[in-house]
Amino acid sequence: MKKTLPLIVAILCGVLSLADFIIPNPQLDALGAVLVEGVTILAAFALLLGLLNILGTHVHRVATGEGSRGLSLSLILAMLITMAVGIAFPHSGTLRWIFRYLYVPLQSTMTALLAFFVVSAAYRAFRLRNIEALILLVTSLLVLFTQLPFVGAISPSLAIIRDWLMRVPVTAATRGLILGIALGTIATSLRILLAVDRPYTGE
Amino acid sequence: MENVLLVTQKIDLGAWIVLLIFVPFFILFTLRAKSGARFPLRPIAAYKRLCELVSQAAESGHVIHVGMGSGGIGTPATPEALMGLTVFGYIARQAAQYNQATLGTTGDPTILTAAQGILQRARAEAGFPEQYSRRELQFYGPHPFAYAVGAFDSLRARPYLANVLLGHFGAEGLWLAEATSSKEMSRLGGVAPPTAAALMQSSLDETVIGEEVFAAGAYLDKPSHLGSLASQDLMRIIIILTILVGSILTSLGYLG
Repeated sequence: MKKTLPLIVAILCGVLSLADFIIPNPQLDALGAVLVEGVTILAAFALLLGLLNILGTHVHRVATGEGSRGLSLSLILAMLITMAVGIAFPHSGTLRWIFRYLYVPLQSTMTALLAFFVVSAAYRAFRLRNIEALILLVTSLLVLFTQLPFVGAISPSLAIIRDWLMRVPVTAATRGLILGIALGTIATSLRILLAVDRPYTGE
Repeated sequence: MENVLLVTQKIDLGAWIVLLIFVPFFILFTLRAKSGARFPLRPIAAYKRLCELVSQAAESGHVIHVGMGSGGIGTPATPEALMGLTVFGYIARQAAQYNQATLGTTGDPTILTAAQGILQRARAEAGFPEQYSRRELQFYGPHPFAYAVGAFDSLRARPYLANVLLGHFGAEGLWLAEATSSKEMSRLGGVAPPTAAALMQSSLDETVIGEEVFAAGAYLDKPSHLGSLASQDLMRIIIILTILVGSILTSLGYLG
C-alpha cells in the first residue's frame, strides 16, 4: 500500500494533467486548475522543509565549528530577522528596506562577478587544443569583430558572413538541440507518467 | 455537429500525433529493455568519466558533490531537475554500498525532499540505514545565485573528488563551475538549454548538452531508460524524414 497508493495518485494526476493539456473541456480545465493549486500548496510545504534544512545545516556548523562559524551565524540571524519582519509587518518599509538595500545589492554583486567568470571560461574554451577549438575561436572572433561599428567601412562582406553564420549554422544547430530536448522531455515525462521512474517512492 | 467541429479545431492535433506515435514505441522499447534486450549506445565522455570517478571515490573514500541546480518539480524545468536526481541517485547508491558519504545540493525544495527519499532508500538497501544523514543534502534558497554561493561554500569546506553539475542551471551554473576551477577536482555536468549549455561547455572539463542530459539514466544504472532512449532515436528519424519529405514536397509545389 505504501508503494501502490503514491503510484496510483501520481499516474492519475499525470494522466489528468495531460488530458487537460490536449483535450479542450471545461471540466478538465477546472480539474487541472485544482491540481496546479495542489502543486503550489505542496511546494510551499517543501519550502518550509527547505528552510529547516538550511537552519539545521548552519546550526550544525556553528555547533561543530565546521566551515566558517561567523558566516553561518550571520545567515541564521539574517534569515530569522527577515522572517520575523515579514510575518509581523508584511507590508512595512523595513521589509522593503531589507530587500532594496541588502538583498538587491548582494544579488547585483553576484551578477557582476559573472563577467569575470565569463572571461576566464572563454579563455579556457579558446585555447587551441584541437580543430574544434580553432573553429570556435575563428568564428567567435569574427562575430565579435564584425559587431564593431567601423567594420562595415572596411568590408561590407564581413557583415554578410556574420549574418549567414548566425542565420544558417547557428540556427540549424540550435534547432537540432531544441528538437532533441523536446524528445528528451517527452521521454522523461512518459517515464514518470507510466511509472517507469518513481522518484516519489525514492526509486 | 458544429460543436464537434469546434472541439476538433481546438484540440492540439500536433500533440496528439506526437503522443500517438511516441507512446506505442516507448512502451514497446521499454518492455524490451526491461526483458533484457540491449540497445547500442554511442560513448559519451562525460558519463564514462562519471563512472570512473565513482569507482575512484569508492577506492579513495573521497566525496563527489552533485549539484542538481535550481529547477524543481512542477516547473517547466522538471525533466532536467529529474535528471539531476537520477545522477544523484546513482552516486548515492554507489556511495551507500561502500558506506561512504556523499553531498547533494539543490536550489529547489521539491528536489530536496525527493533526493532525501532517494538517499534514505539507498542507505537502507545497502544495509546501513543508520548512516542516513540529512546534512548530506543541502538546500540554499530558491534564488539561483543564493544556491550557487551556498554550494560553493560547501565545496570550500572539505576536499572533493569531483564537482558534478547536472540539472537545471542558468548563469549560476557558470558561476559555480568557475568559482571551483582553482580546486583540485574533476568538474563535469551538463544542462539542456543551448544558451546555458554554451556557458557550461566553456567551463567544465566534460559536458553533456541538450538531449544527452536526458540520457543520464541509460548510461549510468537504469536499463529501463534504454527503451525510452531508443524510442527517442526512432522519433528523431521520423521527424528528420518528415522534414525532408516536407521540404521536397514544398519545393515541388505540393504543399502550398
